Amino acid sequence: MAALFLLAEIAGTEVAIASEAIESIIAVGETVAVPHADPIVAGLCAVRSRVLTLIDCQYRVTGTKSPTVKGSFAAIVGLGGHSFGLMVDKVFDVIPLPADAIVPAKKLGKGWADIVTQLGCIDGRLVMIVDPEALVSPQGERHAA
Amino acid sequence: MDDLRAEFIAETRETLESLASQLVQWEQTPDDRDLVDCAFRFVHTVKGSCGFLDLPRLARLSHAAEEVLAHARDGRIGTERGLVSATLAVIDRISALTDALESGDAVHDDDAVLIGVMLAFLPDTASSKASGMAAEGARGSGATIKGISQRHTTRSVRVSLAQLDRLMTGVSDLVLSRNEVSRQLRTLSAPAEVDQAFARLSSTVAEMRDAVGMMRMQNIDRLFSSLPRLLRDACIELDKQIELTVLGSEVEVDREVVEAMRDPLTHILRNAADHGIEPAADRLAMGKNPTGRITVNARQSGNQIMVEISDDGRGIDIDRLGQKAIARGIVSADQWRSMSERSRLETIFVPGLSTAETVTAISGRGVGMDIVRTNIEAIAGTIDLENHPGEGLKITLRLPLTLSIIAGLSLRAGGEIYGISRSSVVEIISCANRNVMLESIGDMPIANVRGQRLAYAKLEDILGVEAKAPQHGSRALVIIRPAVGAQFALDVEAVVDNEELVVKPAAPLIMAAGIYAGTTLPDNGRPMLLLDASGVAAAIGADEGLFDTLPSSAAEYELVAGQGGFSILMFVTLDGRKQAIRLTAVERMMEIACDSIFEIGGRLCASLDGELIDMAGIDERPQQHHIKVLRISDGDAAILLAVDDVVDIFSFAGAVAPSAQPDILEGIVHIEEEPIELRSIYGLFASHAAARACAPGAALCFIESGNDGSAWEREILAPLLAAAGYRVTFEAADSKAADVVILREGDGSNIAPATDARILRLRDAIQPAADQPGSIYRYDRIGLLSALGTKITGGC
Repeated sequence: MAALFLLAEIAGTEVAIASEAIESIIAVGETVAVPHADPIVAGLCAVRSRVLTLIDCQYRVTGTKSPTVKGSFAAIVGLGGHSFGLMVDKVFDVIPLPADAIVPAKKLGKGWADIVTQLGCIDGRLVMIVDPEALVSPQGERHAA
Repeated sequence: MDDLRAEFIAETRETLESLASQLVQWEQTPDDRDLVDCAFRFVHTVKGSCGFLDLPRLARLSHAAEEVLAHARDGRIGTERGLVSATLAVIDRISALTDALESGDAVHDDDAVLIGVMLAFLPDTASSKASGMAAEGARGSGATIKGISQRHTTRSVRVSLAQLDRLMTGVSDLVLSRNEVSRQLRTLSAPAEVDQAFARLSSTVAEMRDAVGMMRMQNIDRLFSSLPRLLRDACIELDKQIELTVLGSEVEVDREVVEAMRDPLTHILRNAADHGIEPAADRLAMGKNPTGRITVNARQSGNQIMVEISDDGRGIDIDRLGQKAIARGIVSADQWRSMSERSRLETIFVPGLSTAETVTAISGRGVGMDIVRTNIEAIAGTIDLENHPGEGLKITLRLPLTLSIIAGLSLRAGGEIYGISRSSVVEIISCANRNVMLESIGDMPIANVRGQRLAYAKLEDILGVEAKAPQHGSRALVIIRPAVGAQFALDVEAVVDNEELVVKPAAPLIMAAGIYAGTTLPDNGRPMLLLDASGVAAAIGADEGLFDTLPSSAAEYELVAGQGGFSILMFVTLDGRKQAIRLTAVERMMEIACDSIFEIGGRLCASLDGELIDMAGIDERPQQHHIKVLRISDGDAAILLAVDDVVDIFSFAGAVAPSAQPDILEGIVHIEEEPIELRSIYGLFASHAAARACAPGAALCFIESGNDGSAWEREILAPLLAAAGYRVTFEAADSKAADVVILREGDGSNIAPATDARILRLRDAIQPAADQPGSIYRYDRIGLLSALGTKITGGC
């Protein structure tokens, strides 16, 4: 059985996100900053009557904030009763990935290690599979883990 | 299977909750056949469900109880107290096992003993009836229950919360898109038909939002139904006789509020049973009824629910409380002497203080009222005590009906808008107000407001954003009393609005900042962060009691305010004058779009959410896009008072000087030596008495109309009466119930002179004919209405 994955780009790198978790992709509109929140929070934005917490995936990986928030793409995921918008640089495609094309990830660089546990083999390339739940967990927990 | 099991757990628990009070009642009247039936039905249902769910322990227990109760039901064995207690024990065990089923915990298995006691009541094993366990049951409880009415069952279906939330989200989406369409329509200047259709849609959406909001409400009976059992257990333990009366179980509250109230209410009730109600012997000696009385009464008032718990016990012994407080070093003897009665009473809320001489298992562990107050305040509620030494104590809890909608205040800081719960806001005062002085002790900034020193901070500094110059006027100081921590003053760029906010929890990533309570999405579709008052207090470092030792003139001030003082709101009228109005009548301040203002029937009205509201303080449609208004309410009608700007809110304690225009102004007040006109709310409503939709309770007028054309009565007279607020009927069947009967005496062809005092005669001619005494010319509107009024008030 092949699960579907969204191929997108975070910090210039191609990644896959299980599409099961993703509700839709939006272009980010007006945002509201959240002072004092975890720096991976890029702000709040409204999608219809829902409030999304925007996650700066690039910051999570590189420690450098995304230069632009408005207009960039975000994948909406619902986790723990909250809606998050995972900001990505680009969105490519949705592809099926059979279970035997997924292998455990080892020895990843700092930044990626705690959000990627598996790699997917797509057309001979190895693509990191990002775990949305790890992406939105507070930084403190990340270091503890 | 898991689904079935979850369903079983939920259903059993629900039945248990509603059964609790009936079981206690059963204990009082063991012979009541209906109550036996109730218990039987319960164990029967449980037994039936466990059969196919494969729950052998529950099946065995319920089977034993069912068999015995079946006998009792048929009258083959008597229902004595022992039987009731044994059944209660089995039902308790079923409840424990049901909980365990969900949590996966183990429950000690001595079911055989319970079953043995139960089966001992069966006729064939009557010899073993006197087994030791049965003796436990012989101790009846002293609790009597009143006011538990027979439950009227309403049909319902079980809907998961997730489904309900989806529905809520859907309706919120609908509201937002309605607002968007409304904006578009305004720019398009659409034809009237479109406007009408949209107004219909709009009011339907509003109704739907209310209905969905109600769906989350729960009957407070869910909470109350556990009280009789609680009191029964307490009575047995304390060996007291207490009668519990529960009123107002039909009040509907948000389910979160029900949960948040559970612990405080339990605690208060136990306290009342333990410390409040005296032992029967003491009560007799004091000439009281040996059976104590506790009343729990819930009622809804506006968007609050009030729960009163009153007992007829000994009340709080203030002197002993004082001795305790002094002994524990909570206050000094000097302080105690200078404290008001009220603040003395309130020391009961100080942690670690209990007036009980001995610690019992029920209460008096010294953790108590302080926790109760913290819990109540955490959900923006208040708690008040009314103490009658020797006669009883009344505790009043005031709680919001729902936690998901709060009355909020929006504040501007650094160009962004933040919300805060209005219930924590004590006062808003302009920074330019002469009563405000900013001082500092070392590095610590302090606001001195009328001599009261408060921790002070700029909201921008707390948030770490850059302050911007206010758009107009001076910055505002918002005085906040958090649930945890001391009062503090928050300096903000401006107070923007006062509105109802739907609170949504924020993601953990945001909550971790510690200063937010959640997020909300106002009608403009731009997300807003809600500040958590306690969190902000902690960020400022406003520790409890930080400035208590500072000499302060605040106490003196409060004393003055306590004597007939009131809050007033000062504003600038459209023609630039400063005026004030009593704050209690101001529902909210808001900005409305000027294209929603219409001139209708010689008056200016604003159309808001499908409702037309009269405007005051304005003579013609304004030119600008938006206008600030105060929504003034007299309890059922509303008026929008147009203002140029809101200046400040003051507590006013002085005298109101009379004014020369009593119909417009209540009087003149002196604020900082400046005379300010105080608008008369009475005058506002009197001069803008909009035709109210006639209420069901309005007086009923029966108009006698012949079979022939009664066009005048129907087309001309009836609308006049309806507009004046009367209900009108032409049905002869209603004539008996009518307050007034109106007869039109055409050309003098006389109708039999009725002796009915309710009859009001109308005549067609201006001059009354000789045989028409006491009649009124039919076009004499004033005469007609005043005669109607006289008839209804019972004059002649």
